[in-house]
Amino acid sequence: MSQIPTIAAAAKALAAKTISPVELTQECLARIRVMEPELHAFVTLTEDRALSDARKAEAEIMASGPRSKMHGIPVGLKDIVDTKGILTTCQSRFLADNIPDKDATCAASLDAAGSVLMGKLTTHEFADGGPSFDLPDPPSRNPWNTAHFTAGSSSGTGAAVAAGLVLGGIGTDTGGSIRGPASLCGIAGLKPTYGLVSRAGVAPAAYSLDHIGPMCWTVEDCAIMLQSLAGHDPADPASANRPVPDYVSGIGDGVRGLRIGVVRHFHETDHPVSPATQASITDAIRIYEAAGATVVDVTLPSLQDWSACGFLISAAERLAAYEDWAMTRLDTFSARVRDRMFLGSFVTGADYLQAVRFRRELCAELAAVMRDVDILLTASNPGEAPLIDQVPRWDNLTKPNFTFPFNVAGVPALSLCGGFGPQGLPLGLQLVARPFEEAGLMRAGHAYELATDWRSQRPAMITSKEPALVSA
Amino acid sequence: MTHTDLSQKDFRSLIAQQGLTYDEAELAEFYEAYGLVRAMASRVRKPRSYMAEPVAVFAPVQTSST
Repeated sequence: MSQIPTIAAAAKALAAKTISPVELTQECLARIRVMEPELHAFVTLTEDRALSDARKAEAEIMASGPRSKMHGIPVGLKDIVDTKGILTTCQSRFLADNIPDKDATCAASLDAAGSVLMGKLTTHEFADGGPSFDLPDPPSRNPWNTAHFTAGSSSGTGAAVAAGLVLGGIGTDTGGSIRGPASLCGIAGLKPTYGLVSRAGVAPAAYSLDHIGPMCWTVEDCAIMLQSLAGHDPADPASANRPVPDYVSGIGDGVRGLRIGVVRHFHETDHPVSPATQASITDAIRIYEAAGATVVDVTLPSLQDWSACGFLISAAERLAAYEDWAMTRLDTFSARVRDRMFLGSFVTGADYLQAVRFRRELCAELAAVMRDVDILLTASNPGEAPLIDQVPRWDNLTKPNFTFPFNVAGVPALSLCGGFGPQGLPLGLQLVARPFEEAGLMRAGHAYELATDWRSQRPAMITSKEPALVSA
Repeated sequence: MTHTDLSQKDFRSLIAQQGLTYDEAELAEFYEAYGLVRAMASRVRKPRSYMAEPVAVFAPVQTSST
């Protein structure tokens, strides 16, 4: 069994015809057969579709070369993304038999780029709550230690990418659902600018906070995948109608001259992080300064302010989206989502509008700070992954998370692996940029990855399964 | 004036009306969570002019008739 390639490396090998899409897909399928029983990363494995896609890609590449860097690359989609003719359950009893008649725009974009669909990946129910043990499909497990949580709600995507079951995947992010699992599973996850990637055909969690984005082993891979995902879509009323820049070719240009603002109060006082995460942030500052960036401290409204605003908006919008079911069949939801829906019913119309007025003020304060810096740096999680059976029921209310501010503001935000903590589990850093400045954001993330060796370490379970992988 | 500050007894009664059952510890935790939501609702009410608009205000797009 060969080493798990990045998308960038696989794309080069596919273009050089030193590996075929079928071989790449079979390697992923072998890892799925061996590791999936412990990881539960998939709701639906589409093995026949994957092999069919791979054979088609192989023929196309042999005939005229790859049409994109995603051509022949095995990917997975969070199970709230509609897929034509393929079960799309949102991990919910309500949609246990739901087979859409149309692809979501993001699924169609990856298909058009020539990627290989491996299957539908585990999520928290309707991208909310979790981990839930009272649903037909179990929650996904963290490949670094299966007793631990992946975070969510793009839990299966985080686990599948970290374990090499797919080389990239689609996640969605309403309050941190790409960046949380990216952080706890030790991968890179990008929440793009609101409107950059179409939401059409993706089940809503909260209309004005939902973002679709790539989750991959490296930031460079996120850039490659974003290149195929970004673009205007009339089917999404919030879709931005603007040219898509080249995210990939300048990714290695470094950070010299960049101004980086550390939102120190987020991770030191608003929600103090673990000593390991604090040390990881300090190291990142040193790395960026050594690479020629200027690093300064900046101050934003408190995490508590951002969280209150984001929570009230998301609770009201989520209840509006699923109100029919919440009013008539509340008990059909998992207990965690049911309880959140019930609590959301106490958010009044005035509460919602006050939050939306506050949102304008928060966004203005962020924009003012970002006139003087190109990138913000803070944590994406307070520390290592908790045990999966010890995730507090009201975690989203008791402690403000580090990711919500950038859903509220709609600006691009990236979680990347910032090393490992005392339990050997990944730590997460978060970088943030101005709207539509994903290229610079990923350039900063890529520079950090090149300066560290975190990308050379995969979960130990992969190595421990090597004998089984050889025969799978 | 508020219509939303419920006593623990009223909150439990609403839960019971939904047919939901919890043990004592869960009920106490649930009511505490309700309190946190109300605290958030207070937090977003900053002093601001009645002219301060929400972020969701939009500009109409001209369309032509066919």
